[in-house]
Amino acid sequence: MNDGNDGLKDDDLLKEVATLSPAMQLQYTDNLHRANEYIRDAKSVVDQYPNDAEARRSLLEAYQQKAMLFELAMDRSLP
Amino acid sequence: MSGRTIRQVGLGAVVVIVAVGTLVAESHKEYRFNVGPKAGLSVNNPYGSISVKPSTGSTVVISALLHSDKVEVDNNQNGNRVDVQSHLLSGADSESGRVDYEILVPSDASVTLHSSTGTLHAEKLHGDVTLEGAGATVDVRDISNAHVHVKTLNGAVTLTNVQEGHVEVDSLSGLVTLDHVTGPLVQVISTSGGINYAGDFGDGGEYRLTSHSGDIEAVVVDTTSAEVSARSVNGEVRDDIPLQPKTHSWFDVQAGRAFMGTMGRAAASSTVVLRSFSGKIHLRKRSAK
Repeated sequence: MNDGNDGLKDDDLLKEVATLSPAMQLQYTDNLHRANEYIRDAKSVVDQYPNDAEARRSLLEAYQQKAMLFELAMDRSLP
Repeated sequence: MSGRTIRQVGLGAVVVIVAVGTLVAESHKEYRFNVGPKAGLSVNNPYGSISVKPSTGSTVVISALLHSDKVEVDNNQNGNRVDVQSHLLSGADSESGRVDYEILVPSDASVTLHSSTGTLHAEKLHGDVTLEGAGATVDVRDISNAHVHVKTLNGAVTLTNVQEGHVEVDSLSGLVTLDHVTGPLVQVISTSGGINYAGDFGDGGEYRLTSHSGDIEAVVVDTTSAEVSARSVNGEVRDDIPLQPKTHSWFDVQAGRAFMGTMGRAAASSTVVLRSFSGKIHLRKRSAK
């Protein structure tokens, strides 16, 4: 699973979660799917309105959400 | 004795054994550290809750309930900083590795808490508070003149009576509730979680509430003075408060998809930005009780 061009490898994330925190795998899978939707939608708005600063900010925030997902998955608090 | 009764008795015995085993394995530990002004505390607890409240003196008191002997509490004081780590031993899982902490710190201490599953709670502090946890539920209240940073995957986040600090909440899908939260910067970003704000948007702050698909509701009091812009790309936007329209806007204000204007004083004190892609946005006044 990968949204194709954002450079973040979704499969690696899910494998890591499956190893470190299997009980949370379903939640990570679901949230990863939603974060990718966020990025896809934000990209479409930027494509439509390339000069819209708010749209670009929204895309950045979408990437930040996905980055946070990775950060939480690799969190040092996991066993 | 019927087969069913035997099975019931057998099951009861197992339950008792497990309960006794659990009781035997549980242990309580307490640690105390003397610290100076503006001390730092970091607690990393994979499984279990962490609650932090103010102490009366200059002492950090850590009370830990360990749920089995498969987890230990490592702690270290380095100068004015105290680090606590729940150390999982071989075979520990979310039950046997659980530790519940109740911690007292000087009210000016900065606190960083990590837990994957437990409740993270901080109250009545005026040092910075950072809370992170995948499924952790976060409850922060009565924090003043300090920054509050929260990151969760799907845990609900509730901030109550947080004043005069930078507030930044990032949640993938947890419901975020802000009740009387004000400051120079209040920002919530969520992918699919809803965002509820109740209060007056303070004085001179920037408030940004963003959710990709979650609904956003802001309930304000009569005295609120703010410049508000709201936009949802595909969701419905509703404004029950008569706003003084802006003479121009930098984005296309489509009825039902966006609104922009000023409430309260003409020279609005705070800036409020509400954004969603497919969620609904609703701005309304608090009902009179």
